Amino acid sequence: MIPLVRVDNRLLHGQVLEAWMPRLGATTVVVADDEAALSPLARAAMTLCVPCEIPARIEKLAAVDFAALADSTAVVLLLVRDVAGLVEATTRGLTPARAPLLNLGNVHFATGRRPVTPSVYLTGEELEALKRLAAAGFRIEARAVPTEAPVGLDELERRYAAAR
Amino acid sequence: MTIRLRTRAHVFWRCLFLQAAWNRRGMQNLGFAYAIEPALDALYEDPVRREEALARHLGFFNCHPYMAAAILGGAIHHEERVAAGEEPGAAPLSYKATLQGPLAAVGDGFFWTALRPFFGAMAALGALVAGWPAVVAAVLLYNLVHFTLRAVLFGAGYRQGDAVVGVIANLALPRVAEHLRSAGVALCGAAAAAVALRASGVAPGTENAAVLVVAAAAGAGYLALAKGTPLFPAAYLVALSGTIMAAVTGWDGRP
Repeated sequence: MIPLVRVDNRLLHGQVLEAWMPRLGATTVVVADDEAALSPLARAAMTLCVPCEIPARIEKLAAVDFAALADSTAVVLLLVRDVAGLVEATTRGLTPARAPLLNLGNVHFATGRRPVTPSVYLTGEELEALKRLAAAGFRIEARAVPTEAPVGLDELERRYAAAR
Repeated sequence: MTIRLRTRAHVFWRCLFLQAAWNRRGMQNLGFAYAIEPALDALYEDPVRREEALARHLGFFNCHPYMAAAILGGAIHHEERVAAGEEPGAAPLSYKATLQGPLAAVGDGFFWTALRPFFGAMAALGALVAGWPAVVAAVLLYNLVHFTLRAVLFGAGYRQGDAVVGVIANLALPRVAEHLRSAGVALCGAAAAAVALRASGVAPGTENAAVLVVAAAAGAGYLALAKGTPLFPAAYLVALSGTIMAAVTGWDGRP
């Protein structure tokens, strides 16, 4: 099963390993990212930070078999780098039935992005893409760590409109 | 070209202030740019190239503040090659972007959830047994370990660049962390027992009750944590109950 798909610009880091993995009882972490999969440095560093009892897989997005992950008995935390990665995953077999919950963890600031939570800055196109994913049946929330209150899509839209 | 030891020491000194200008948009970006500036000044004589180099280090950066020393060292390693025309300007940035997350996870796991609690527990027990100098000693020891590791990481990053990952792997920090956590828990238990026994010493005849209370508290604490009670509220509740107990039993807190 895939209880959570997380969007995080930094992919694997402390918030994921110390907060989300124990909360979800995750037994496997899958990083679906082309850049990380193709970088020996990224692979070495990520292998280094994951405890040895938790298998970490770093794969190109196109190589991830979402159906197999959803059907397996392993509890999988799936990481993608950005909203575009999320959208691409849904075109390659990620469905609400396989992974109902999409989490926006860290989406860093860049010119043209507006703050919707302290750690998430969105563009208008990303917000539209998220609305399409919600319409397709995914539940969408933004929060960095599980102890924070989740912010839903309606609230994200309101904050985006209010932000300048 | 390579930069002088003096300049590297200057960068290392500045990296102690990595989080001084922490902000939501760039997080440690200003701290990183400030820290690496002396190295860039030494590497780029042309003001235009120097400005360009400094500007690229103003992008988003966030890592564990101690582990960031490895990345800072490695960024200088790559900047030396950029200055020599051997690598593109994007090389130090991709190095930073790739390592910041994984090293943050290693640092959180080792320093925040193992080393610091261990020395905190040591300070608590030491204070009960030997008084306040034990707290000062624990803080000094903690920082001795912390500064040594920071310096080792910075040096390894500078000399080895990408191979710093192997150096960190050889330190086996997660395994050391496991031992530190167990030892820290044992120290906490000893500190709790010391509090209760001291309190019972003030009120004669309560020794057995004190031992029972310690055992009951330890058992209840274990069950609560095993059932998923959040650690911090539980720890505060225990500290508060202990303080009230000490007040009720008449212990005045003097060793």
